[in-house]
Amino acid sequence: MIAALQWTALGTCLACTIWRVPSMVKGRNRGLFWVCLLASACVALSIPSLYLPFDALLGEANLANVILRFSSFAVFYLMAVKVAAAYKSPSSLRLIRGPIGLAVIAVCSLGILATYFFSDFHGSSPGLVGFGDQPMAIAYMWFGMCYPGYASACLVQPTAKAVFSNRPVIDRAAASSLCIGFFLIFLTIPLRLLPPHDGFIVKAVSFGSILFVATGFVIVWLSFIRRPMKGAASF
Amino acid sequence: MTVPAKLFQQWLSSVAGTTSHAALCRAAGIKRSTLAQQLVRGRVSVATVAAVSRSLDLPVVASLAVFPTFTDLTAGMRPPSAAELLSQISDTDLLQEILNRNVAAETLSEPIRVHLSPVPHRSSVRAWLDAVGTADLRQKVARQAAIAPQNLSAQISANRLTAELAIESARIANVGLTNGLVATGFLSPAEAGWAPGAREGALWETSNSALVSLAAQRLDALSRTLRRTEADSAAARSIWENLG
Repeated sequence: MIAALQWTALGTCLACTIWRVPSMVKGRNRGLFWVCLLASACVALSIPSLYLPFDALLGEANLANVILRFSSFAVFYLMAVKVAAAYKSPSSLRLIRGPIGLAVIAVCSLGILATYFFSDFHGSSPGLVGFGDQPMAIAYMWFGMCYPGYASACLVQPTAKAVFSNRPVIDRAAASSLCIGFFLIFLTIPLRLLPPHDGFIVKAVSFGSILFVATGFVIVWLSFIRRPMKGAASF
Repeated sequence: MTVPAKLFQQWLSSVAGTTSHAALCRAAGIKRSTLAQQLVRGRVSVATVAAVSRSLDLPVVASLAVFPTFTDLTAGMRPPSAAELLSQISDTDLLQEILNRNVAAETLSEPIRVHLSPVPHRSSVRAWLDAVGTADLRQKVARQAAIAPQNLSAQISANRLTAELAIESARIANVGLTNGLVATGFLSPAEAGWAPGAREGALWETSNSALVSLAAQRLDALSRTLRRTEADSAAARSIWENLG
């Protein structure tokens, strides 16, 4: 079940990446291509059968997990800026691009590096579950989740506002899919506080959230393709 | 807005005799499958009644009055007031009339008569409701018909109004019952009993001051609508620019 969800999420992210290639070549919204590509990398590195061989190349010291964390930070920063601008929310944009947002991402990045170098993560372990009892590993995990959770939390309000507006149905469908996805990403933080850490629910929620966000982007692109041509504005 | 299929069948046999449904549909310009579906569901739309009635050269209002919900429709027909007539003239026609009168005043000649565009115009429903009642008319209509006020507003914004609501509004506003159906485009002015050229007559008899103030109200409403559509399209454009 979880494996199916993971591979579906990876397939969706890769499909989005391929879909962005023509726009990337034309120079239209290049950031989105990188978001899709890095998101694909994050999802791929969350799947044990892809994580283990990749980490083996890097010396089996779980450096791949550090790459995963930084990719996810980049994905969330780029995506949050785009989405906040798209839904015209200056306050969210400020929370992400402003001093607070940059401070959060800087603290999380430094935290990741510090906890990684001050602990011994030898022996590949997807998601670092094999080191779950080390306090450093727990801190590392929290730093890794903190920024995505923060960025997603900033995007729940603007997307929810669009859902309850009187926009066309397709726009509201896209906004609701994005909103649910961001809310679920944010929800993984409190869920992790609940007793079974590597539980089924946390994984289902985090990969489900990726599917929701990706679906939201797909719906936005569908509405973009169907957009009225110039000059169709009515008086 | 529908009538019971059973009564529709009875009415049909009384007015069309043994004519087949296929022939009726062809003459009325409605899809046979649409009629079949409406009959199966037990509810035939009033649009079907109107279309069949027109194809048989029967007066639409009298045909509708056969059905229980519309029995008082014929009796409730009354000529439209001047305000109602003016409400069914489009914004551009009103402005054109003002321009023509202005030119006539400057050149000391008779004003050129505007050739009015056919009803209904783009905001005919809103204009008619504003012409027949005060602001609380909409609330009364929504309460009477037991629908949510925002549901009614949505219809008005889209320049639509179900036949039931149009008749109910006319009843509450104490005007001719068929007049609202002209504003929604369900009936032609002639079918609703409006005299030919009544709109033109009302327009010519309107004083300059009343005409200008009416046009000002219309432009005000138009600017509100435009502002909304511009905001909507700006929101959509922002999404496409950032995420498209």
